[in-house]
Amino acid sequence: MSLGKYLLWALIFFIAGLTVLYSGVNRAPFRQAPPMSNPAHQHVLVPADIDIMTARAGSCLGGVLRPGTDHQGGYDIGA
Amino acid sequence: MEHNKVTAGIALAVSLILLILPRIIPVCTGLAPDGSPMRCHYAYQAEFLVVLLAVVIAGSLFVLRTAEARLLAGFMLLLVGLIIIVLPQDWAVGICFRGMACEKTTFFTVAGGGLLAFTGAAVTWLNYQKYRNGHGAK
Repeated sequence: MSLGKYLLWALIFFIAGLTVLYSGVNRAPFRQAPPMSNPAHQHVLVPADIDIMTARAGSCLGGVLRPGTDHQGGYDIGA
Repeated sequence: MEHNKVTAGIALAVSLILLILPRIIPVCTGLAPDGSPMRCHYAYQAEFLVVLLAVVIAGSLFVLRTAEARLLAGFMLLLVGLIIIVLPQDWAVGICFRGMACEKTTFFTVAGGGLLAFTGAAVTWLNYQKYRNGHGAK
């Protein structure tokens, strides 16, 4: 085989290798995590949030909402 | 001439084995708590690219005709073998903690990388002798 021909085959081989790497065939597949097990994908109300919501619901007439003053970046209830 | 064929054959065989090693002896397949792959995954993605290069260099030993060209290819094979050994080390990319699946893969990878580096050194040495005596003759 001539060097020119070899270089062509080597290039094809290398590009095929890159394709294999991209598609993930070169490694064992990842174990699937249970659905929605990642805490970042869950919507959880912590007790502090529940307190705020309860307070908002209970004092909707008297409370004044000021934007961006609570730690959540939402509205806070004024006196 | 025969020595070159034997060393080139060994280098090509070792490179091909290293290429499919993570399929035979898989690294950690679990995910980190944040959902990203573990450290060893990235180390072996890098290993795959380097081993692709090793296959091409090892194959070129069958095609190259002059001692000068084989000398260079052998030296490249030596360096690539050293990179294969270095990548799983903690001060390079690294792998997971002791006792995990990737430790077994790393053992065979380092052994293969060592064999590849040794073969590259042998090719370099054999062709350096010819190069010194005949200045690049076959």
